[in-house]
Amino acid sequence: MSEQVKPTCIQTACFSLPFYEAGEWRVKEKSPWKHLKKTEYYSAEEVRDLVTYLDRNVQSALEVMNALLEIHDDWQITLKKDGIWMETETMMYEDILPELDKRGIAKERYIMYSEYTRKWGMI
Amino acid sequence: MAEASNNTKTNGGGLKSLYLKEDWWAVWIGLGIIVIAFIANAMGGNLKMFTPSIAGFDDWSTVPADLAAQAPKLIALYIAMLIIFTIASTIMGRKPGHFVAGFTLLFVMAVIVQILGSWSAAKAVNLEAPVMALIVGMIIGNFVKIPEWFEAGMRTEFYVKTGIVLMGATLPFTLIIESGPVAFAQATVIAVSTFLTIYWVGTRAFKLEKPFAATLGAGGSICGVSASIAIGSSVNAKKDHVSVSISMVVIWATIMVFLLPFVCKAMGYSDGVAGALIGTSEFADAAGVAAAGQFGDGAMTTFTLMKVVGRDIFVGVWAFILALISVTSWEKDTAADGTRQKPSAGVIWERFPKFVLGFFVASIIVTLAIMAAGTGTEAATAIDDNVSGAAKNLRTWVFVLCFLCIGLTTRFKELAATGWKPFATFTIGVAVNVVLGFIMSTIILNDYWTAVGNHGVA
Repeated sequence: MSEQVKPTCIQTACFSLPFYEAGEWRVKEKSPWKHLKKTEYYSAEEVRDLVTYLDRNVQSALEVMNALLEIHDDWQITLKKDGIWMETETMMYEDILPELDKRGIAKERYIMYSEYTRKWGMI
Repeated sequence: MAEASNNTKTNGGGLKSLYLKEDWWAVWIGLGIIVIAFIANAMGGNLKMFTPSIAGFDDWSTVPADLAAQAPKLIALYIAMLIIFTIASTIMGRKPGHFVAGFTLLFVMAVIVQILGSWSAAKAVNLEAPVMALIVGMIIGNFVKIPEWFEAGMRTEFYVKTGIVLMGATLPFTLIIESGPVAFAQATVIAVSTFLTIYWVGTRAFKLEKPFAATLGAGGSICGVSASIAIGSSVNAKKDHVSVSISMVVIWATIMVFLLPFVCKAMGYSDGVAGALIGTSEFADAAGVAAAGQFGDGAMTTFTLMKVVGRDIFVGVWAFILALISVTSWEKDTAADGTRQKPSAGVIWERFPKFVLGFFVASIIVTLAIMAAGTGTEAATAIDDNVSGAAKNLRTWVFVLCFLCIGLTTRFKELAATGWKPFATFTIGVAVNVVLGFIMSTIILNDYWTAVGNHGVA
């Protein structure tokens, strides 16, 4: 927040670090999960591919999580079966993104959402 | 994987929102009151014990006697509202002690404002309860330091949303069906024109960032602060930009609370036309209610049709469309691998103002009950008196609490320093909005809104 502008809203910066490819999560590399969840019969190879894919994504999520924890220490962290959610109201995403970039975390490794609420109970 | 930067936030909401969100509490409280009123009516009773009314007066010496007569009702209303709102606030995570203290002081102020607004000398200069509450609130809020415990009771949006749900019980659903499409057409023409003006001027003339211009445009055309927040989130606008947009809405909404009623009265517009114009050109629900409240019930009817039915319910659609544009167009160049996260249509529901559902349900229940009783029969009149009448009285009290909160929380020195470019951009949008609002409400649809205002009152 610049010095001239007094905040009239609260920003929640939300980072989603998914393990699977969700419906809204579009990537060039197709997740094996996408295919497997629609299939009735699986080969061992397909399941092995999924495990490799999940392992890589969980490792990536952990690295991003560690980077976010280095950047800021006030996070609300929720571990879900399909990924990790990290939210904070005490640091703006505008300040977090350059720090992630400095640490070599590519934009493709997380989903960033911002949510706003009123700062006071006004109209 | 591509960086996703539009909101389809999923970590939250769900069934928990039914008891953690203000919108849903407004629905439960509003509909709960209406159901209780129906039960009381079915048992041959009513809620008049909870509906005090301060009579108009010329002579202050008559006030103590009137107050003494109303005291049991005032105390009953205070206790009922205190219990209901404290339970809701506590479940939503606020400290009950602070809320009780803050609400108590707010209620005392509401009684004082109602008395002042009933004075014939105040009425003569159009200082009725809504405006009186705003002015008193603004003077106190801007010149006196408000303690934290008092602020806990100032739930402006909560009160206005509850009031709007109650308003549903006074607006026949048949009228919403008949006039809603006209309100939607007028509101949409003006909202789209205003949004495009602000967006075009902001991006082309003043070179503002596209998400910033969109957030400003939403604030000036859809539903004020709520729209700035919804669209700011949808397009991932920066915090400074959302702050500036909110400040612009608050500044112009405050000006319009006084300016629009003044102009409408000076021009001699009918209540229906005044309400339609305010519904079109006021930026925030609460401020609009305060402005329309300075006229008769017909103004409140057309205001509600225009603002709630014509504008508010479409904020989710706007959020979805702008999120889609943001992802497919504005962020096209920055996407890492040419693939981007697409917003899901779930945004429409996520951003939908849920309290509006309560408004519609209230309207449907009361309309069906009156039709079932047989329009014009004694039973229908009883429903009108005991259910719609109670809802109307209670909504007035809730709105006065809301107007006080608007005044008390609108601290001009705490508004963002906006810079001249966003101010000029937004102001040009305001001009377009008001001019189009005047043309449509007072020229093209003058007779229509006058008729709705005259005959559409429950």
